[in-house]
Amino acid sequence: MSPAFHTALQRTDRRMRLRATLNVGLRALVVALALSVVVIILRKLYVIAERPARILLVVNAVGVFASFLIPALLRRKPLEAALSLDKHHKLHDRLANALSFSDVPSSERSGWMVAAIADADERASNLDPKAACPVHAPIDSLMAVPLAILLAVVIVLEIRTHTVIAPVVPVLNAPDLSGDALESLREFVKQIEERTQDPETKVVIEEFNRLIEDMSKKRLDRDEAFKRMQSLEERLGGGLERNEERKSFEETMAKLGNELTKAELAKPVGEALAKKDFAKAEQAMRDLAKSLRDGKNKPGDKQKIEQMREALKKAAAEAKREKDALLKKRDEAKEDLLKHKQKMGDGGATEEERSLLEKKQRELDRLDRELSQAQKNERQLDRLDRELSKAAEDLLKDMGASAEDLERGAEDLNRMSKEQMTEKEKQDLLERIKELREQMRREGQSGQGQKQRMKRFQKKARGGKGQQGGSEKGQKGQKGQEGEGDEGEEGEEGEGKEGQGKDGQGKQEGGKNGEQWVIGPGGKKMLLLSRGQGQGQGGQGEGAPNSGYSGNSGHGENVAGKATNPNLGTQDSQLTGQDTGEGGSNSKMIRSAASRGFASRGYKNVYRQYRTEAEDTLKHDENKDAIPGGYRFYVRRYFDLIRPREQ
Amino acid sequence: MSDDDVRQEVKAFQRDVGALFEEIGKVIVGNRDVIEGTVTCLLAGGHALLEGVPGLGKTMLVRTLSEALSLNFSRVQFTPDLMPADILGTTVISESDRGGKLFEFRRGPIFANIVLADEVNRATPKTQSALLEAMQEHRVTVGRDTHVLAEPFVVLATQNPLEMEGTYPLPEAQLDRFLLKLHVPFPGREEMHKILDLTTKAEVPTVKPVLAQARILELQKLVREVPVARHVQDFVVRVVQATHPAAEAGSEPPELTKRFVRYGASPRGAQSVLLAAKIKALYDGRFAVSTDDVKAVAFAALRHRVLLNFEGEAEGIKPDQVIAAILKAVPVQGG
Repeated sequence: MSPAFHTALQRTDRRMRLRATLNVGLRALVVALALSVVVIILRKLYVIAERPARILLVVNAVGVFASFLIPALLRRKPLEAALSLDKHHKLHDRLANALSFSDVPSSERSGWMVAAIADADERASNLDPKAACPVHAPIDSLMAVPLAILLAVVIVLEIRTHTVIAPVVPVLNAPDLSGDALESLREFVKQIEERTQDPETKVVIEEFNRLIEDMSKKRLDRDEAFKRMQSLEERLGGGLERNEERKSFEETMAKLGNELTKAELAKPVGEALAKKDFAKAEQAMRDLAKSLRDGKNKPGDKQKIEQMREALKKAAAEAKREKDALLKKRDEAKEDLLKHKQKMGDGGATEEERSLLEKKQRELDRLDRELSQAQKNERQLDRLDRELSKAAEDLLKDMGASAEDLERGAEDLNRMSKEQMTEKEKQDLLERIKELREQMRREGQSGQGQKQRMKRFQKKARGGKGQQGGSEKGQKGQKGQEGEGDEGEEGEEGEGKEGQGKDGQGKQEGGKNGEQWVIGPGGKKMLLLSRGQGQGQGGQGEGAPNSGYSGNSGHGENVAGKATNPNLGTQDSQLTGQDTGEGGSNSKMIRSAASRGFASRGYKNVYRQYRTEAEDTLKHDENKDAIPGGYRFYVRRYFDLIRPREQ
Repeated sequence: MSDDDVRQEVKAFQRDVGALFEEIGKVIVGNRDVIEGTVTCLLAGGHALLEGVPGLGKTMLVRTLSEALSLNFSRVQFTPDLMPADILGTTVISESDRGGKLFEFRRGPIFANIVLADEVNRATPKTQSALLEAMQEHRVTVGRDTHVLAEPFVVLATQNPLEMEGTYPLPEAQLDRFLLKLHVPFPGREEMHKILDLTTKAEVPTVKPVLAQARILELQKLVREVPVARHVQDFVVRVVQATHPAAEAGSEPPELTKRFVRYGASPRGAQSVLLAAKIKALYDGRFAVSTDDVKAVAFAALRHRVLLNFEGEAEGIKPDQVIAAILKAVPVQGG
């Protein structure tokens, strides 16, 4: 064969491979793009997981690559190129035949074959592979462009899911105190209330009473209860500080008492003060005033009064000395702290220096407090001293006037004592609040998965699939609230009562947990999570295992809605079927009739009757009008074809 | 034979056949396909079945062909009372020159080069089957004697599709013996004008013989020398296989075949297709058969070999529709 022939074949072969590559590859690309869009959409809608989505995308990419590569590398038979050229140039297989004959050994080639090859060679120079095998992208590959855009859009766009979140059911996690504990608290508060005269303390006690009542009626959340207790503690003041103040006051009074003991006249008062018995000291001072008023003491007692004055002065001087010492110490500490701060400011502070600075600051604060207390003690002592000194002076002048002065001193002592008594009551109250807080904390820790229960419940309340409790109903009375419309209110009244009385209490007493709706803080309706009281009868408590919340299961009685109104206007319409031509074919109808027979009679009988009728017509139709001559054969053959087959 | 000789032979073929067509064309207007088909049967040594309504010139075509070939021609009008002996011939008692009696075989009209079996489907199956041996083996057996028919021997049968009263459809075995079944179409307007011009004038066109018997035999031999490439032959095989509703090995018949065909073409059908395709290639002056030739002759060579089932007949399916579907479905494979 001529070189032109070979060249044309090779060019055509290349073009065919290129065309196949484009055809297959671009179509695969379109399919892959469409699949990718679907996969990404499904992924964004969370229908499929990340890993399968990635696998599908990778498979897509590999598929496209293979679709381009395989047709490009696939070797084609030269005959295909020859046939393509033949078809385009209308050569009636001249080239294909020549190619086929060229494979025959020369010795076996006939003259016809040689002539055929020569004939093909003659036409080879005019061959046009480009026209014979046009290469262009398939029209449907244009879909790749919009699909690629769509893919890009799908990748970029974020589909936001609209999730309906159920409203959070307010849950009341009330402190679960026993009735005994509450009663004990009430008793304690009553005692304090009777004892105290301090208005501030009374306000605190009233607040504490409300706290106890709220807790007893489950109107408080645990957090809220803790907050209120903290508030009360703050109002009662720091316990430690108050304690220190009291100790400091008692020490001062004891020193005063020791001094007064040296004066014979004020010996009973001094002994009482030394023993820190302010009531006895007050009484002793009143006794002294009475004896002076009654004139039991002699003028010779002036010396004794002078001794008492001296003792008081000494005590005051001692208190002043202590205060000065404290002041000096505090000034030194302050100066030291300032120096230290300055030093740190200049050269930066190390960790150790900062720690030392904080220590010094704390020391300064302590000294400030002690100084403040000492000043207070000093003031009180000064006042007492003034009263007693005046009493002594009056005694020296006139015995009658001194009695009143001593009465006033006793009053001051009583007031100071009472003041310190109030502090003690506050301290007691504070201690009791701390005990209560600790009790509630332990109760919270010992609760069986209180937080887990709350989480579980909130999950259920948001529509999650709740864990089906063993059997405990928990609370049945929420039907009305969870139901719809008017029917809901009815449900609240009826079954709600049953829930509180029967399930809420009776079963919880079996030592199991349950929930109930209560009026919480702010008058809001809240769900109370509570534990049983541990009074179950052995292992046979009525309460069954955990958590049978059924708040969402309620519904109104008229679940089917209103009955349909039969008087609604209706309109009759008549429809006519249309022949769409999509039914069974003629042959199917005939065949089905032939195979199944007719409804009332056997097929053989029917066939016989029809055949007889047809034969009669064919035989007696003399004018040949009924059946034209050309169709008689078909009539007979038709009946032959549909004759009943022998079983 | 060298390639130059081949070229010369092909040119001579074209020249001779062209002359034949020209002579026939003097009498027969249009119907080029029918004329080509008839000549194809002659050159392939096969027989043709011409089907058409009366008056379309079937008999005229055959008569003209015989005149243009200067061959023996006989015409048999098939009727229901036609007996086999009326076609084949019969043994009669005759008197010898010496006055004695002897049995003598008197040849029937079958003993001719071109036999026109007019309205062949009117004869009884018995008479029709009398043609079987002659058509296939080109010989006639009467009694104990076998008589070889002169070559070329061509039966050109006609049948009328409308007149079915008193007709006997040709049995499949006989149909298969026809190389081609040619439909004679109704002429168009221009052709009608020409027919009227030719046949209603005082001058009647005359046909002169252009091909002698020996030349026809040479041409028949030449036809069989035309080579067939493998891919073309493979195409023929797959087309014939696709006429069978049951899928043969490596073939996948189209849906139309599966639904409406009872029996497909036999290997004789494939032979007919290929022989006719060879002649078609020579008509065009080519040295080898192409798939286009196969497609061109497939209808005529296969339409009487594709037998429809009841469903096909009830649905009014034509064999040509099935063949067209097959040709569309079967691809030309490159090797």
